[in-house]
Parts: sequence; C-alpha cells; structure tokens
Amino acid sequence: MAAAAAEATTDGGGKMIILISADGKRFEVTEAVASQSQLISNMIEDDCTENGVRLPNVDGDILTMVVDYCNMHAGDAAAAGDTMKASSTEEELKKFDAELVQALENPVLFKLILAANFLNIKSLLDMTCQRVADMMSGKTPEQMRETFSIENDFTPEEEAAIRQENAWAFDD
Amino acid sequence: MSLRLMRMSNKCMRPTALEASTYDFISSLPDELLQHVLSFMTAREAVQTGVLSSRWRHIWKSLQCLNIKGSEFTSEAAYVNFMDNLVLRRGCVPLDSLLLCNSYGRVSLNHDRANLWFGYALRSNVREINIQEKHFEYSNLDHSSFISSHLKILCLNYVSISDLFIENLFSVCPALQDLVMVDCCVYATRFSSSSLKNLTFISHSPDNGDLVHDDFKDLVIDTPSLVSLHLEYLPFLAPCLLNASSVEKAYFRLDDMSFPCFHMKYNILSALSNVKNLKLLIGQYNDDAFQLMQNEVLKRDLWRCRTFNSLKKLVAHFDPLASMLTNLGETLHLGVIGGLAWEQWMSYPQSEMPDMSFICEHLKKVKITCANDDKRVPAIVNAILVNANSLPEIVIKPYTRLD
Repeated sequence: MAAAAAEATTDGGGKMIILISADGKRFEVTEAVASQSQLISNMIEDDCTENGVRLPNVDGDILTMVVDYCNMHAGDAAAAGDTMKASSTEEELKKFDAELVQALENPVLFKLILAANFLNIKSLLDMTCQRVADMMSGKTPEQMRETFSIENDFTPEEEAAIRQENAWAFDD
Repeated sequence: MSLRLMRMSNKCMRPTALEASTYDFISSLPDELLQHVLSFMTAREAVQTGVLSSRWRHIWKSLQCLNIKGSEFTSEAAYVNFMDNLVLRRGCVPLDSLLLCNSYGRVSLNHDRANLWFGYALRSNVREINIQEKHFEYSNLDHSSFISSHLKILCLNYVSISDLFIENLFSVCPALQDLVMVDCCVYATRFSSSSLKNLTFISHSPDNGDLVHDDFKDLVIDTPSLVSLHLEYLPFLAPCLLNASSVEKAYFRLDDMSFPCFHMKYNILSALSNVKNLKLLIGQYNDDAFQLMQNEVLKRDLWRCRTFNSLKKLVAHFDPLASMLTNLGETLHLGVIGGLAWEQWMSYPQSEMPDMSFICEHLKKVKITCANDDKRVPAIVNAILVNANSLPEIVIKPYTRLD
C-alpha cells in the first residue's frame, strides 16, 4: 500500500513520498515539500524513497511540526514554479515562523533542533537555534542555568577559577 | 552522556513532565549544534557560557562566527582587552566570519590594534569580514594585512578606503566575490577585479562629513565576472563600466552631479548587454546644466546599445530615455517624474513622439507610477498598446503632486 501511495501523484504532477516516524506515524508529502530536507533530497536523487522513508530518530509529534513547516515553506524552495499552486506570501510565512518558534517549549525545541539537524533542513535549524540563542542572550550565567536546567558541576573553587580565567569577557 | 540521551530518544520512555522541566536538554546537544546556537549570539555572550558547566567550558573556543558588538563595552580598554584575549585564547581554530558592529556603541571600534585582529582573522582563513562602524570616526584599514586566499565577502561601513587598499585587495585576495561599501570614505576610483561577483557602492563619504570627492573623477569598474552591481549617491564620480557584460542585475541611482562632460567613454547601459533586471533612477535636481548633461550622456550611451535581449524587468524614471529601450523584457515599471525630463518631454510636439517605438512582444506587465495630472500617461499607454503583440496587463498608480 505504501508503494502504491508512493507512486501516486498530485494534480500538479509532483510525486508523493511517505515519511515514517519513529513511532510508525505516516506522512504523505510531495517531493517538492520533502526535498527541503537535504537528506531526503539526496535519497530522492538516489531513487530510494519507493517504500517510504523511515526516520527512526524523529518522533511523530516532532515530524508533524517538521512537515507543517515544510508544507508552509515549499513555495520558496520549489525550483519549478508550476509544482506549487498558491505559495504563501512572505508575510504569512514570517507570521507562521514566529508563532511556531514562540510556542516551542524546552524539550520540544531541542527535539526539533535535533530533527532539523538530522534531516538537514537549514532554515529550520537556523530558526530554532536562533530561538535558543535569543533565550540565552542578555542573561547572566546563573539565569542561563535556571532557564535551561543546566547542572553546574563545578565546585565553588573551580567556578571561581574559571570566572577569573574568563574575566575579560565579563568586564564592562 | 549516552544513558540519558538514549532514554530520551526512546519513544516508550519519554521523560515525565517533571523530568522534562528539570532535564538539561541543551547540554546534551552535540558540540556542533551548541556552536551553531552560540553563532547567533555575540562573541562576548558566547565566551560567558564557558562558566556554565564543564560541558560548556571549551565550546566557545571552536566557534567560527564571531559577532563583536560595540554596545556591550563601556570603555575602550575593556573592548581592546576582550579582543586581545579572544584572539589569543581561540588560537588557530579556523574562522568563518568576523562581524564588528557598532550601531549605538559608546566605544569606537576603530582602534590601532584592529588591523592586528583583521590580520588574525585572515590568517585563520576567514570567509567574511563585516565592519559596521556607525561611529563618529571611521576606521583606517591597513592594506598590507589584507592578504588571503579565503576571503570571499568584505562589507565595510564608515571605513576609509584608499586607492592602494583596493588595488592590493583585488590582487592578493583572489577569492573575493562580494564587496560592499556603504558610507565609507572611498578615495579609490578604479575597481578592477576578475573574481568580483557583487559590488555595492553607496555614497563615497560618511553622511556626517564633507564630500571625499568634490571634483569630477571617472569611476572605472572593470569586472568581467560581475553579476550584480549597485551604485547609489556618488556625486562627482562618473560611472564608466568596462567588461560588464556578465552583469544580470543592475541598480543605479544617479546623482545630478554624475557627469562632467558629454563624452563617449561613459558606458553604463551600453556595457550591460546581458542585464536581466535593471533599475535606473535619476534624481530631479535644480541644476539644469548637470541634468541636461546626464540625459545627453545616457541618451548617447543608449544609442550605442539598443537591445537588451535578456531584460526581464525594467524599472526606470520615465523620460525620453526609457522610451528608447528596445526589445523589452516581461515587466516594465515606469516611474513618471517631473523635473527637466518632464519639460523636455512636453516640448516634443505630439507628432514627434515616435521615439516611443520599441519592441515589446514579450511584455506581460506594465506598472506606471505617475502624478495624477500627468498628461504623458495616455501617450505612453498608447505607445505600449501599439507596439505590443499581445495585450499586457497595465497598472497605473497615480499619486497627488505635493507642490
């Protein structure tokens, strides 16, 4: 059945492929949408997407977000203009991205970073890493530890020594 | 790290809500992703993460993008101390980009030692150097330290650029593709490079200073690989393009004082035989003599090259020049302006309008921006309809004249 679906085409003529998450959820997307992932783009080129693409380290809920993102952004990536019917406007995309990234909570944000890195989707990786950087910016090390539950494994003496060593980055 | 990581990637054993809120997800990211996160922060913030935990202690040292922000420093001593230490402690880790940005800083990034830091970056195979010094003083770059076979992008703002610097840059940085100069003191008037792909040159003088050039000079651009060219607000520099047939995208905003004389050597449009996207904006100024000179130079230039076979999009302030462009592409955007061009146009009797004959068989869309009382518009529309094979979409956007 997967093979049959993989052969199916949309009205636009774009071939469909199936992505399968770690927990067995299946997502049917066009090649144009999926090839925003450099990993999948390479697989399409090598003709090994026939029986669906298994992504053993991406959970279904994360893959849902990735597929939503790729569907939304297919317009700017599609080289052949006729494969996309109505690509989203720049404003809509910005709004979509801002809402997606703002809503991300601690564990999901990092799972999405790992998924974007694994699938090699540069724009999604940049956007999610930027979000983490924004959450760190303007914070003291203590506040950063608190925000991300970073465990301080230094002894007080060690920490004092390292602060001394990096004092040039703390001078006003 | 693997135990906790494995547990989190195992779908059957998701962390509970309590675990999720206390689990240190960020520290379990691989080094290259932590470095990617740090590359979106300033270098100072990135170095500060070194005290978070032993996991973070050395991550910043492999950071390949350094963003230095002037506003983070309250004294010059702190800035210099930071830069010296950064360079020293990074050591010989390769560098991708160095960005010095000083929009609202209290400290000038222009320092005697800056050339040492640029030298360090270039020796670390930096690909991009970007200096955004929006300060009262402008930086002096030492031409002898700019030697690199890796430098691809150089963006300069409020920097003093000599003839020698440019000449040296093009001869000892063979990979240089992008050169952007905005509000710099540019003394150089000859840009000759076989590698350059994008050249942006906006204003040869910082906006708070006197003009660097107050007498006419030729601005010679000899760049056989150039793809995109942007020239804007360059009074007293007369653009003269050699070897520009590779240019696909050109943007010119000509100043009223662009041309000293009516001379054959001023190639602008005639040099751009393969341009796809052309924007030609001409200011309206009070000095009739200069305006006339400019029109004459461009007109003569156009006569030499009447076909733009690749032109897809043209945006031009409309005057007799725009009407002479033949073999138009798919989109035409005419801004109908006043000024002398307007007077000239009005002085043409109706019967002498066949200047408006042009080939526009591929024309699909025309947008005309004009004053709401502009009487030339019907004539333009008429000329387009007469010359077009199939009916293009014509959009007219009128505005109310302010005077």
